[in-house]
Amino acid sequence: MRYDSQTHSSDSEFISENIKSQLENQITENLDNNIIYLRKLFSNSADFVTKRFNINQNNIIILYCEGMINLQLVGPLIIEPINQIKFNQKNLTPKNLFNYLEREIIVASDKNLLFNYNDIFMSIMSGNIVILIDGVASAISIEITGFQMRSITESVNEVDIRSPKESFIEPLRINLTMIRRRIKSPTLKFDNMVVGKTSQTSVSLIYLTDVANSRLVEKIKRKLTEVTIDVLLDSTYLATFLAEKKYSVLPEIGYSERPDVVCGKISEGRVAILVDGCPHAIIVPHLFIESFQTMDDYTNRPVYTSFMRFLRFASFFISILMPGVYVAISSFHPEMFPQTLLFNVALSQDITPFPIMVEALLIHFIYDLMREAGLRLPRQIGYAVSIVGALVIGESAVSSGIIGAPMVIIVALTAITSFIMTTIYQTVCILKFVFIILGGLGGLYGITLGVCFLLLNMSSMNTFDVPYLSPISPLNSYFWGDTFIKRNWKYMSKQKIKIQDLPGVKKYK
Amino acid sequence: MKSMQSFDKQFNISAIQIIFILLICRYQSFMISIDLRKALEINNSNVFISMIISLFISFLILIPAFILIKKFKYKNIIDISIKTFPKLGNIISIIFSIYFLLVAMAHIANTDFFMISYIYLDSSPFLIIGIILVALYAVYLGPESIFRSGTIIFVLFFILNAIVFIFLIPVKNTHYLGPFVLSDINSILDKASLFSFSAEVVAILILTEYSKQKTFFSYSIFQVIIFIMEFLVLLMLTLSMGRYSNTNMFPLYTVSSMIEIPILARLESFYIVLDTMLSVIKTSIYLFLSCKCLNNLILTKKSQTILAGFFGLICLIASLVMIYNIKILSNLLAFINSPIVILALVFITPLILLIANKIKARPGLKKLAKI
Repeated sequence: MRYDSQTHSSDSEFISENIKSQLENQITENLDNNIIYLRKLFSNSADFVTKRFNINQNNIIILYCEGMINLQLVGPLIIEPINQIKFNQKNLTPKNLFNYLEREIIVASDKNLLFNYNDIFMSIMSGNIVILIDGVASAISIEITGFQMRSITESVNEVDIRSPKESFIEPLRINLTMIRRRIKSPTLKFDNMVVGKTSQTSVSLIYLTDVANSRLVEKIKRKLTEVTIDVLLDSTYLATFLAEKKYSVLPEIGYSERPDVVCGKISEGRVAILVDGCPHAIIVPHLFIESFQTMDDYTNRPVYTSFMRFLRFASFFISILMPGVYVAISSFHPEMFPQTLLFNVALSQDITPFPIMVEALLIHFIYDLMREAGLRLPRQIGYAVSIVGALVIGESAVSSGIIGAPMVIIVALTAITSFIMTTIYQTVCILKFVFIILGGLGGLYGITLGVCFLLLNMSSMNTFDVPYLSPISPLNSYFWGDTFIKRNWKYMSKQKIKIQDLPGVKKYK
Repeated sequence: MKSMQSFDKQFNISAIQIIFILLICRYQSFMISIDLRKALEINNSNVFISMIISLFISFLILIPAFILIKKFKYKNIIDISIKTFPKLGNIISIIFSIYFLLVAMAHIANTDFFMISYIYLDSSPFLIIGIILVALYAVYLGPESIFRSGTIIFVLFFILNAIVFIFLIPVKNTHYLGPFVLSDINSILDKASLFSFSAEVVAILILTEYSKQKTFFSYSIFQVIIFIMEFLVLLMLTLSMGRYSNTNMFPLYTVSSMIEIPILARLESFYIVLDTMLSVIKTSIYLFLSCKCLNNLILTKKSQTILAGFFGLICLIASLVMIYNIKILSNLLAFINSPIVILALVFITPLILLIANKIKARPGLKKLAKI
């Protein structure tokens, strides 16, 4: 049953009483009454198509949604076989005709019997054809889904060198297949739900029943049933309902558009959520350390991977702290600079009109403006952004005395390091401004207080009862084999990694 | 009996986190609170003998406490005192709470004094509000966030100190190291008391409920590591500065200004970062302990939050008064680290509780149970 009325048991406003009662009404034997109800239900929509047939004095009607089905298959699978009945079977009662159609004539892999308008509605909306016969209070649903969809392509946002190139696409069923192909285990489970009062979007929870903790799964299901969105278009809409700290700058929910990554995560006891129409999955619980892991880490040599992990951590801290530390040292602790650098910094500050903090805020703001513009512009015009950027942030701004040359270097370094950390870019973008202000107002003291505040926040966060900073703090030496350093697979395979085994996890044990 | 855990939820805190927190607190005291001039006066070298003696003293004074804690299945001293003396136990909890509040107060005042005297010269003493606010936030978030952050900050602290130590090697001068036994035994014992008696020894009696069976192990590791750290710091100070270290109020800060590495000059700014981080953790842990001791009297989370805020305000006011009256600050520091006070809390109180429990266990002495 696709529509779960219990999901929205307390909220019946989105469907008028009339339609609600119709949804729950059983199909009648009168074909005309059925069609009237269904037309009303579909609000006489132009894409709702009905085709009538008369087979040996029996009226048959097929219903479908234009654009959702494969029209090329309708002829050979539905219409031709139905027409053959005229010549091969005579004197059939409606019920006999129905049974004959359902058992002998319609050859399709996915065929269902429907008994109420609710099921007919959902079936047509899912790309099926429905057959109704006058005199029979039931319908046949046949899947001939044929809507246009994107082909499976390489991942755009999670680019790796050695690992598989497939990424998710919009239809849920194909995404589920991609996961099923990779984990051929009877414990792999897909739990389907419907979310969205109006959109009735299919959502699937994916997990391994022998690895994922049942209480974690129940908690996620409960949170999803509390979702009160009208139209669910993307999996990110669910993030607000799943996250425990709604206004945190740190990501509590993981995302991936790669089936191999999702399979790796669910094998560690996590739960993935796929939404129909969305090409990326949500993965919970999500830990801080996961923002620094890529699929290539598990395909490259451990020494190289450890070096890359260190690089990513360094990039994160450079991107959030470097502008603020530069501002702090220039403003409050210039004695820390070596003499030659000190002269250059002092000179650049002398010729620019703004205080160093304002300069830093201004230039980083302009950089983010250009970055956002570059994302939204069509490709042909996008090249112009890079030219403008070079002019605005580069030579012209320095030579006109608006900003100093050292600040350009800082912006460039910050930008490059933030490109390495695309998964956590939103956090970096906000925190760097915060630390610039703290550095400008309080020097290293202000920055240190900011770091302590951030650290305390991260330490207090629990994502689905798993400490967010685990296994860094609380410490676990075995799990450190996949944090700052990467141990080889021989070592890592000695113990099954489960998220509920991490130190500091409450309740699951 | 109102238990301290009546609304305490189960916290996942490990023994190693407790060790790190105690190390941070003790090192912070060592950096700015302990009068290192006293430790280094007359003869810098005999302080090493004092430290060895202090290591033994710090274990001896906790013997009754460890026996008591083990007997009561690793409950903390407050819970044990309430169980032993239901009414008197409340007074003991207030005493411990006041002690921890005084420690927090002294530490905040000392940090404020250090910052406006050495780092941000002539700046406002209200600078300390930043540390207090962050510490109060940490108390609000709960002990798990304090301990987890403390673990990470300890690693940073270790790395920064290692950098300072390594770059001090070229500056050393072994001629500064005098004969070990030059002054009399009184001087050695006097210095030993400087290292033996500290607020961290009292804190372990409350934190035992988190470390459980590993209380003795945690404390032992803490004492051994702090011994090594203090030894290295004093050695570094002696070798780098010699007698000059006697004239400095904060010799560790001074010695870091002597370091120069190719990228950066004058690494004393590192100490700003280090001092601030350690101060936040130490302030938060002692404010937390101060509130925790009153758990049996203050039941709701909201009340506890208000209490923590009130304690923070007291600390701020006290700090502002004490930085302009250094004598009061010195006296307060002397009081909280005084052997008499520490012994009263960690030796005499557990001893009394042990004896009382022994007596109560005898039949026919139920009157004692009602006190």
